[in-house]
Amino acid sequence: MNTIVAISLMTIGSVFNAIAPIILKRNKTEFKNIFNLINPYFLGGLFFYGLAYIVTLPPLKEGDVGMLYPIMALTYVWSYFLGVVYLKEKKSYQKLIGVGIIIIGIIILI
Amino acid sequence: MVKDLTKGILLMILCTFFTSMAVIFNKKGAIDFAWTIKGTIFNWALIVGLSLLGIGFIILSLALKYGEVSLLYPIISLSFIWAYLFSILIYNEAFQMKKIIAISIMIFGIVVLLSSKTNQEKDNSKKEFQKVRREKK
Repeated sequence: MNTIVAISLMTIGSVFNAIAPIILKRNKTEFKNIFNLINPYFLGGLFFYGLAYIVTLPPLKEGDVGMLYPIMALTYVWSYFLGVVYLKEKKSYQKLIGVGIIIIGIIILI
Repeated sequence: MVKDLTKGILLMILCTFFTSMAVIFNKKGAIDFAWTIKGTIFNWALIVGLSLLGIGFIILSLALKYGEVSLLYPIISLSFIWAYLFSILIYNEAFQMKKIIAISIMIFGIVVLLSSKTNQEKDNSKKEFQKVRREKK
């Protein structure tokens, strides 16, 4: 597998990993018994975690763990932006600086 | 209070061990993967990898009880370092100082990003501060 394809798949995986908690967080069902877990938000969140898992398997198979797995750190970057857009969380300079440092780290890594 | 926090930090470090081992097993599972019954449902490495992820998730949720999320959650970034070190040991990947430095920079970024306090935590610490001040009086 081409390195660029592997890196792209890991990036897509990190996007799915970031979408999952956003969906889970929208869940407003009260948890009373195990059957309350059968609701679109919980299942949707689980579905995206599953997708992320499946998407990251082929690149891990052929590539180096040391280079590919840290790309999952992009999850936190997407989470920040998704949180600001969909959950109306506050923007903060500290978080933006963190985003910048993570991206610099990944660029050096690749 | 301090003892609780130590417990939380130790649990978080344990959690990073599980998640990084999960990656190692998932890689093995992906290598063994085939469109047969043995390659999919009975793929032992994938089963172990998924179970380790599950155990890591349970430990994470236990650990977060012992302190503020902004303090404990950034520790999860250690799993990137462990995963690299394990893959050097198990998959004979090349040791490169460049990668260690890059991952360290990334971990620093994650700590900066995730240690930013949420509004709720700010409220809580304010309340605690006021409580302490009232008790002093």
